[in-house]
Amino acid sequence: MNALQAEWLKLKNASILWVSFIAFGLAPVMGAVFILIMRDPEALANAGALSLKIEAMGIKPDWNAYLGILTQAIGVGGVLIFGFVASWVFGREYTDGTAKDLLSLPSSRTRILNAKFIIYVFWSLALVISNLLTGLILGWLLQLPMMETEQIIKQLTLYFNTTFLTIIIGTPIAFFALRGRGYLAPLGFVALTLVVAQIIAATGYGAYFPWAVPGLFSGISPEYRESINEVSYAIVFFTGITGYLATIIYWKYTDQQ
Amino acid sequence: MEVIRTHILSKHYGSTHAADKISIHVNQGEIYGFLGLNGAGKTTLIRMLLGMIQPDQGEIFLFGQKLDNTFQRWNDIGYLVETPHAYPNLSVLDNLRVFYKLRNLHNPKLIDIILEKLKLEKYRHSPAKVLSLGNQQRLGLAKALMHRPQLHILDEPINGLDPEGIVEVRNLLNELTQNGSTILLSSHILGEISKVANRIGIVHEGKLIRELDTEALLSQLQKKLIVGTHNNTAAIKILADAGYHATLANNNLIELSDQQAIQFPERISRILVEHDIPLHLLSTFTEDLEMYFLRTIKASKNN
Repeated sequence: MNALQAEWLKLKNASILWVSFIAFGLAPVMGAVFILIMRDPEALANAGALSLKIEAMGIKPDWNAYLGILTQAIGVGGVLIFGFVASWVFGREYTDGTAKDLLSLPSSRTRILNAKFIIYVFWSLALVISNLLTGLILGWLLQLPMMETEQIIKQLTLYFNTTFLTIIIGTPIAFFALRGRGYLAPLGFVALTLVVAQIIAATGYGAYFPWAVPGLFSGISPEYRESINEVSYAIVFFTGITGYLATIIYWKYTDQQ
Repeated sequence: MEVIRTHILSKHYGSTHAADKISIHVNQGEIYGFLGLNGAGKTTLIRMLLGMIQPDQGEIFLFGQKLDNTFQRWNDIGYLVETPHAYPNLSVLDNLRVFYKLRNLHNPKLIDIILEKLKLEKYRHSPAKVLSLGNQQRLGLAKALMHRPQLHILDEPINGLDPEGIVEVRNLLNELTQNGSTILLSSHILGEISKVANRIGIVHEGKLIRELDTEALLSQLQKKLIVGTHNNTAAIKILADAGYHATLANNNLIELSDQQAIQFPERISRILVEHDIPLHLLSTFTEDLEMYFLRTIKASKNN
């Protein structure tokens, strides 16, 4: 608990906290703009490439479509933004030069890392809840037609399941932050996974590449979503556990120069 | 009681010997000064003492307990390794609160006491990033001392401090040892280390090449008698005839290292004047600690 309080002290004054909410908060705003354009035939006609994109995505101006956009923002954008969060939480100690101060304390290194993982999870959850609330307000302002309760539950389940899958595949970033001693290596890793995920998903094997799974699961491409199976989930969980254990083992047993 | 004991401690990085069979012991209440050039192995040893680096060979005992994964007495140790850093956007107070939490402390007054002791009170709510180098050093020391540890491991504790700050830290270290604390510190400011340390270890290329107490160190400093004349060649011959070993230095002055000459310079003066060689300079010279340090390292290389 003390280690968690210490992590919260470090985080609460960081401007990056609010920057992350603003950056991720662009997703519901963009979704709302999509809906607005779709509802206005004249605007849709003038939207050019955007109208083609909207038509390709098959978006309709209702709650179902809007919550779908928010879910897809997590499956793809979440990999980036959660990756950014993990890079900052774990890499900052090296960038700030404070890592050595955390190595010989009564709070064990494992406890300190666990506190950081908890911060990472709760920060990511706070981001998706913030987006959901923003989305609900914008949807209400747009006066979207009501959905059935069953449909709402289904969409929210998809929303949070996508969130958990995205959070789980973020643990290796912690390892790269410690191994790379700062932000650069983990951010490079995040960029690489995003690019490779796009390529692998396009080849049809995205279901077996952990960083592509949340995007496919979120329904960004309905035909690929069906390719997600038990093996896909197993790969995601294996990646998450491996990332967590590698981080703990690395910091606990490797020489810290 | 031995607070620190290392036994043939070694650490190698490829062919580089960062620490080579170092065995030291530091008793309770002692200030042990660790001297060495950059890259000599001081920080490697300090990091091994703090469990940050695993030795390839040898053992470390702190408070009589072997340092391994089961070692729990981290709250009895305060440390400062290399340049102190703090969370830049956090205030001085919050920086200390972070470590108050991580050290599981239960006396909030400890923060106020250390802020006052290190004269950081007026920067209490200032972000660490606006502190001067000296005050950042004070904050680093505050983190190391806040929990009142029994053992202090301090790497270059006076780096960046102004003369007043250096005196304050010196007094603080003396005060800590008077209260029974033990201190191991490294510094490249040799004059300063000799003012506070009871014993000094000189490390070079990973090896502990000399270990001596401060009194022994001062007695080992080379002394010379410096003589200046307008006819050095004749003067050296006259002094040699009188049984002194005199040499001409690069600065065109005569140097004598005989104990008799150093203790009784007036005899040298009389001999030369009696031979019609007047002196324009006669002084005794004691080498400073830097010269002693470099001479010791050079001797270890030749060996």
